Amino acid sequence: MASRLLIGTRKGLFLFERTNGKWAVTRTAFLGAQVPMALADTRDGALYAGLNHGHFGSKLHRSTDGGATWSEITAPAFPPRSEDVPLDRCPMRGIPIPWNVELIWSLETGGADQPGRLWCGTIPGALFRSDDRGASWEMVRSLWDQPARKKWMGGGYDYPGIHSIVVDPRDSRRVIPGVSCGGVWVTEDDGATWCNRAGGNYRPKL
Amino acid sequence: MNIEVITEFMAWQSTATLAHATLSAMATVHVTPNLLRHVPTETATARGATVREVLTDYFRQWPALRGYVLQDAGALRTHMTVFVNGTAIQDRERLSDPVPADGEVYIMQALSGG
Repeated sequence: MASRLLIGTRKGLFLFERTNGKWAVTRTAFLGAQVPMALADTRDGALYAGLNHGHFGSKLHRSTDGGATWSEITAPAFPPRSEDVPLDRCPMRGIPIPWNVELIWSLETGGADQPGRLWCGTIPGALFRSDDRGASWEMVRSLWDQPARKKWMGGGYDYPGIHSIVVDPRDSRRVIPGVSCGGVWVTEDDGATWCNRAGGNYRPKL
Repeated sequence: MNIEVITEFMAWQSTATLAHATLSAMATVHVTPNLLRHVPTETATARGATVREVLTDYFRQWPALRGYVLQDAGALRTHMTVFVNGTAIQDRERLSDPVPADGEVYIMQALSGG
């Protein structure tokens, strides 16, 4: 049974550990800053924390000593874009989708056979991949360039976002991001191609 | 101070100002102290004729600062602002506002909220 919890809050990161059946806060970090996502990499013991500084934007930090100390690493960022191409607009509200990581909304490790692999989902709804423990990131263009992606819309947030990422434990090349609001997407080939698998995702009669 | 001394002083001041401008046609960049706890930087000179050029030169000295001030595509972050010689810049997207030689550039947080 798990004995450690990483809890990101609007006021910082709290690390809980269970000793003799009782949970207690054993470490804190980034007090006063919003921590929208945290991740423990069980492959190498590293901890990751996504931050949202408000004025100063989204950042990413890594700890290799169980949360005692943290170092800022490269945060996912949208690649350079041509100013000749207008920004996409939310199909529901008509507002332009910023070409900028507004929030780090999901983080996941790759499989045990993919050391250094991390996945990151953001608002606006982009998926990023790192193969060097977050030292560098690349936007997964194969998903961003899906024509249906332009139909994604914001739910509670102004812009659409990738809120969860599942890596199939039986096959690390099978990755399943969930989009709010844009359905469930699946790649079977490590992100080369994608298809929407939201069929059957409905609320049965009560 | 008689007229002769005053004239001499004014001539010296004019020469000194001209020499200073010629030798150091660079802006001075200041960063809000609120950013220093994230990225320790120092007030420093930077070369350029526009805000974009000056900031690019300044970020060359402190690369980690760029993402705290600019969005991914290079526009000024929504709640940040830049002043040049006491005036807020107009072009927040391309940062094309001119910076005079020896201009004073301040990177600040914008007051936002309600």
